[in-house]
Amino acid sequence: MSILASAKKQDISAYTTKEDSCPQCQRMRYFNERMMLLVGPCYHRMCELCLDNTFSAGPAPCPECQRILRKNEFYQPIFEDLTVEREVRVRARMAAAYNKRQEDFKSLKDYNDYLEMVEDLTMKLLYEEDIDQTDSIIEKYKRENNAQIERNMSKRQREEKIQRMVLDQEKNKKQQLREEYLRQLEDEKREKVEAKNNIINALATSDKSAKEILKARAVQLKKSSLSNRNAGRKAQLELEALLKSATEGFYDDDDDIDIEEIDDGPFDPAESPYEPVVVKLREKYDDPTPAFRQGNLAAAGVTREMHQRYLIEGAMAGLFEPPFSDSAKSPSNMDTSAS
Amino acid sequence: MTTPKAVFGEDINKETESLYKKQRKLGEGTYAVVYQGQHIKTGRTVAIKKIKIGNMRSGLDMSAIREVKALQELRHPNVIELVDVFSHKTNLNLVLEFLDTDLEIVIKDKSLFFMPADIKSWMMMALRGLDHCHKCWLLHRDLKPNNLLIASDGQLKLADFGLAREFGDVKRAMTSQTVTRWYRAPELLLGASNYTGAIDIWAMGCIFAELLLRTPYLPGESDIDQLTVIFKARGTPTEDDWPGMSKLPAVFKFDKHPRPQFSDLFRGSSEDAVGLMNQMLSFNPSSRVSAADALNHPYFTNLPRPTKPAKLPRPKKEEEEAADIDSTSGARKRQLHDAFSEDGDVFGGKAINTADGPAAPKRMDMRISSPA
Repeated sequence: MSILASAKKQDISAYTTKEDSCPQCQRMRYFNERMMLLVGPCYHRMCELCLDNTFSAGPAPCPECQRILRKNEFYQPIFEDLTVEREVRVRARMAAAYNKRQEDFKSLKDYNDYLEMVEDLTMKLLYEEDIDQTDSIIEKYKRENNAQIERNMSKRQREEKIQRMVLDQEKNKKQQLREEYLRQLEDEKREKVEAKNNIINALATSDKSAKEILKARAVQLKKSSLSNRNAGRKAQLELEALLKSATEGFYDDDDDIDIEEIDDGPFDPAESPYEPVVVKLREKYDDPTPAFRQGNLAAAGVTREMHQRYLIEGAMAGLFEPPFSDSAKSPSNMDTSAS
Repeated sequence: MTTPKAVFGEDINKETESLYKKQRKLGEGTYAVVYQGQHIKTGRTVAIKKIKIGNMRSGLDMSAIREVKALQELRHPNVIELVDVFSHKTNLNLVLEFLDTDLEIVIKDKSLFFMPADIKSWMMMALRGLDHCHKCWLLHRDLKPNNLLIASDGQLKLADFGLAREFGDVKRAMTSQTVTRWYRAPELLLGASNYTGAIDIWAMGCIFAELLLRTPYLPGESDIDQLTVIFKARGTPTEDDWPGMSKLPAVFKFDKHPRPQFSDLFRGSSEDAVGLMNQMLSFNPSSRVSAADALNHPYFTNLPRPTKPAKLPRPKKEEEEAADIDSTSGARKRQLHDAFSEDGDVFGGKAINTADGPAAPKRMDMRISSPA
């Protein structure tokens, strides 16, 4: 399977940053998180909207390089750097055509020569040297070796299938172990309840002494739990080992959030070391301030009420404060906020 | 500020100066150098901001006067404390409370993870400080993560009052060229000559969004671009959204941008957080919440409770970092961090992000060596 196909399968999403922007319309991802930047075969980026606009009437030239493109040739790149994207795609194409294996060659030298040849062709494609010629070489090779390419491809698919099956099996086993464990817990619980009911029944109906019944019961319980435990033990251990390996090292003991101090009663978010300033304004003042006639003050949030409050508070600031006594030597203790 | 033995100004000044000693340089800005210092008697660590006025032709720098004027008025747990002022030769020295880090460093430190309660705690402290400023009729006018300093006990404090000024008087025009661009309110960008505490609230809303996103919310590249970025992110306002908008001096014909769905960008944040942020980033300054009203928003009283300041995440100091590299837990955390960081490295060590620059295709050596 090619890298790209496997990336798709594993749902690896494209690399994006908040700074992305479409080179055509300059729209930024900062303001539209779902913006998709797509690239065509010439590796020039374009956002979805631009794509729709440009190719609404069929094939059109790329706005960057004028190469004629179709809308369906565009896709979302996986890599941020388009040279990397291109290299990965070129290599994927080469790997699909040149898929011979070492066992197809007589000697190691032959195989290495073949690899060298493939790498030469790849470099030519990547650096865009004699593209047409290289393309024709590849096509020719494909035609001539069609049978073998197909054979190797199916071989490879088979191998991958087996690999997937092994992985699936492991997964299933884990799942089974877990179910088994849960079932045992359930059984144990049910047995306990049953046993309890049995004792109560026995005590109520039989004519043996209570002591005897309890003793017999204890022996029975010991037996059953022993056998149970032995059977369950192994599965449980396996499961625990699995769980442990999955979570190991993920938690840091000293990073525990302490839950104790979450709440210690109501508090006042607006708490202040000062008494609130209480100044009552009259309903209306005779205020001739001409600035208010222009109207641009209101747009900046400056109101008559605020202006009047400022003047009145200023006039009354400190009026009701007692004068400094000798004990308050430092003027830095002065509280100028109260009025 | 001093024991009142000295009578003349120079004597008082000398006495004040003798109380402190400078230790090491912490940083240098355009108009000041900041040193770490110590109160000799009490051993309290302080920051001494030396304002360079030696080369200032027109007397004392305006921002120094503003800073002293504002800080003398303010005394609040969430505002930096001005401990003392003294002059040395031609330099003015402000003795300030020593605070070891700032919110920008915290936001940029990608090894720190923020819980919603942490963000709530920072916002609450910042708004408390800002509410106090506004109650004293002072505008900060330069709020940004860089100017929200964090004390060693985790308390967040507003600092850098170099652009602060009094507001409320409509007769005196104010400049609209203030506040760092990314945090500048739309009425300032449109050239308003008088404004209110709402401009600080806008900046606070941007900081809130930045805490949620871990990246600046409205990063405009120029003043005009700033408006475009705001409109793209928040939708172009209409006269209904913002009555009187067209009367502002610098209004021009804006491109119409639709109002995007905010919940898309702030997907991981709670509804009340986004609700409060939207109220803080309202276009109309009159309907933007005040600091006091913001503090009474249900966001702060809803669970989770704001984190205690002492438990807030803070960047590691260098010594701690060095000690951490040895311990396995540090290595583990770094691994986790690498695995989750945006910089790639997600695909089992092989980064798919090739942002380092275009990689030219390289010839691969496919040959198989013969078995030995």
